[in-house]
Amino acid sequence: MDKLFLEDRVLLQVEKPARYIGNEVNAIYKNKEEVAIRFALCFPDVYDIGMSHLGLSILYNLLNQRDDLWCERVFSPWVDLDRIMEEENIPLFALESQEPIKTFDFIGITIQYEMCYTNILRILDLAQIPLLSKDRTEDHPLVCAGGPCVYNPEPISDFIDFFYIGEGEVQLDALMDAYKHHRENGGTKKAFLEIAATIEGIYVPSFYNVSYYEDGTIERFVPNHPKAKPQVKKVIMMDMTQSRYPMKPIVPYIQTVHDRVVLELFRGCARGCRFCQAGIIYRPVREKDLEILKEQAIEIVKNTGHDEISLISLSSSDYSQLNALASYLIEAPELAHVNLSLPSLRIDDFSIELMRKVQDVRKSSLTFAPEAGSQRMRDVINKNISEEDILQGAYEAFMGGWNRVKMYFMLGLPTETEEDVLAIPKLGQDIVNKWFTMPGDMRKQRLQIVLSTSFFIPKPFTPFQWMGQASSDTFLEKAKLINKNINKKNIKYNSHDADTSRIEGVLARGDRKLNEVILKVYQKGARYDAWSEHFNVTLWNEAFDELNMDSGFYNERRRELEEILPWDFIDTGVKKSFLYDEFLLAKEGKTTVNCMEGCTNCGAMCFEGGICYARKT
Amino acid sequence: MLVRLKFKKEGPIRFVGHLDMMRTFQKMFTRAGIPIAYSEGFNPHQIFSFASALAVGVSSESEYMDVKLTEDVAINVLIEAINLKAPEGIFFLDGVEIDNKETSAMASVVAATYRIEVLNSIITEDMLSAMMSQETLIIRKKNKKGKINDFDLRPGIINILLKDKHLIMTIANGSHFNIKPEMVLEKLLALNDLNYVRCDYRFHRVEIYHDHNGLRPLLEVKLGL
Ligand code: SF4
Ligand code: SF4
Repeated sequence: MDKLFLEDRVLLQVEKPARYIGNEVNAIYKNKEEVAIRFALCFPDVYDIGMSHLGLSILYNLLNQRDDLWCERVFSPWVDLDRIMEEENIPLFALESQEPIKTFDFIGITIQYEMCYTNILRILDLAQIPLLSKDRTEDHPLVCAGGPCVYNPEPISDFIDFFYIGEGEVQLDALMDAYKHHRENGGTKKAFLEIAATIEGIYVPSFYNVSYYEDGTIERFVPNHPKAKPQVKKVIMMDMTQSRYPMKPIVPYIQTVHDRVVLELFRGCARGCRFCQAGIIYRPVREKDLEILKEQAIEIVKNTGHDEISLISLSSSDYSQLNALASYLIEAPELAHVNLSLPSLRIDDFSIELMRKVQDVRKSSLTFAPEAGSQRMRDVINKNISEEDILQGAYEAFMGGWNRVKMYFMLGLPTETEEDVLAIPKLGQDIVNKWFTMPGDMRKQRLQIVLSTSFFIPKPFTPFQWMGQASSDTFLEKAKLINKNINKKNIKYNSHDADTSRIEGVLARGDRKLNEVILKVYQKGARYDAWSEHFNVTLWNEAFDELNMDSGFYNERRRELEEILPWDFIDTGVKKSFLYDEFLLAKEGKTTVNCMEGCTNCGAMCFEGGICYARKT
Repeated sequence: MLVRLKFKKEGPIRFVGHLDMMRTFQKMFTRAGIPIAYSEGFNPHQIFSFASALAVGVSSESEYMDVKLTEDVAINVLIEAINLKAPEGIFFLDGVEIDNKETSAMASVVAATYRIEVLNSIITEDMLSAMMSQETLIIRKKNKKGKINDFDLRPGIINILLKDKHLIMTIANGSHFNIKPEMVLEKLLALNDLNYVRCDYRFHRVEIYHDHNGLRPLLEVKLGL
């Protein structure tokens, strides 16, 4: 493809013009005259971020396997190009065909984090498509969305025509078949929504009415259309080994966040940390077969030329065959010049040994995510790692040559006391002390410890979904307390932005009333909220004020069990009663076994596979 | 075995900058499965180097690189294997085995010819001859340490002419003396009280030379691919 939509003049003015030229190795080109469906797959953030996202690559591959469809990529133009496009009225285009997307059949948006909501509106706006679903006509694409955030789709329900709840492998084909059939028979795009609504996993927000009590909580959430299901159940791929994996992922020209082959070991997570949404919505754990992973590693390296493979899954060290897989990836002759990169492994002897093999000890740092400083607090969140594990792990790592440690914690967790907060710098200090118990000749380098805290955000479909989030002021006080008590000689301390956490907290558990807020914030100029240098909390505060709404209603307010939560109509398989039981156990500081040790009957067994059954055989 | 390869870079890939081209070529060589040599150390990297960096947005019909292989491969086989896996817009034209003692492509470059399409600006023969008749052409240039110094372009301009709205210039390039085509343009316009605007021109590199009893292309095409 020689065609470029943007003139040289424009490309030469922007940073990293290669973000906008397409044409990368393994990008898929089709003859647009020969396809029935044009699909714009959007990641509402800059290319460098979006191209690192496995889900996007999976969907791109999946959709393009159809001969009757051409799926192309769209990312948010970076702020420099954004400005030019606005000034010159240049419509947003797809990377492959280099054609405007406003006449495509679908715009499909993958939503990975709440803070990209304003970027979604930006994409529609730049594409020259009306922002509100109700204002769009037959001349516009259907706009759909998927990804973890759509487990609470309500805050953006006015902008999106339909949501896909679950994993793309399951229903995308059925959905596209239905669309094609419907269009061939002269059906309109709007009428297609009625068909989509009958497909499992699809949620069409305009087919439901929500009414509220005076206090703002939901009174009723009911279908207003005979085709609309009262409950929308997520769809997930049960046989991961058979799932269609991108064997020829696109190789970006520019450096992206993850410039490597990614192997997905399994979906779901067995651990059940109580703050973690991913741990619930992707249940149950479904592993991929070892042999398939080996084949895929070799094949993908051959097809991309990457010199690094990384294993990605929610908690990769839980993969039952990790040892065999890692040894294979280290030893296979075909992978002689390919490095293995290991993400957040649990720290035990095996992992340390493995890391020594694959990492340059001097250059890498060791990462722990205890999430809370005190044992009591870790029990509350069901993070089953003991102080002893951490100190012992650190000691072994020090003996193995590491001198850099990164630790991640959350502040503002339910029931947190000052003592729990102070346990964070104390744990840091205990690790420093551990370092000094090593023989002197092992301590030639300087010890560097980085403690990072983020602020706890209660998320839908977690046992903490009823909890209030701490206020920004409380967060800042806690961060200050840590900062005051930290031994600055060996420990560096970072803390997240409290305002971002607040807004994320609002959006995560928002309802339909937030559509108006998001629209207003967007109109005030909010862009790239997920980027701290672009995030402007004032715009959000103003929008809430002007609409006479209280953001605290969404993030700081504690919900009662009886309340209808905006996302209650979505069925993740995990029972609400299970979440509530977990909530009660958390308050008592009692832990729950993980799925590898025992089944606590969360409900996900209804998917009839994965770990719920594997463990029993 | 050490080989010098010649390739062209055309189309949208001209917007991929030098460092990204390095990464792109690494991956291309791996895909092509050629026996490229790796350096020693904990993070070994492929041993190859470009003769001269090409700026973003500039196309070229004559780029050169040296590549080290661990075993002997017939040049045409090598080129075919690479071309099969090259990204769109990159095409290998030729190659030759060079011996270890040969100065590297990078170190031997002395000059390059550019063809610059004038899209939106007026440049006349008179402007060119007026410039070339000057004894010195001083510009202000930042040196490696970031200090701004006076710098004379004149000795670096070997040849410059205008042909059908295209400016063709051969200028010094390389580690000893390096000037960029936009410096010449900028000076040319400044002498006429005009401002240089990058997007008024489209740059294309025609050839890169070393000094072998006069300016000779780094590699003379033999295969005629
Ligand atoms: S280990 Fe805990 S935090 Fe990590 S994905 Fe699993 S449940 Fe979530
Ligand atoms: S049903 Fe049991 S094994 Fe399956 S995900 Fe739930 S708790 Fe885990």
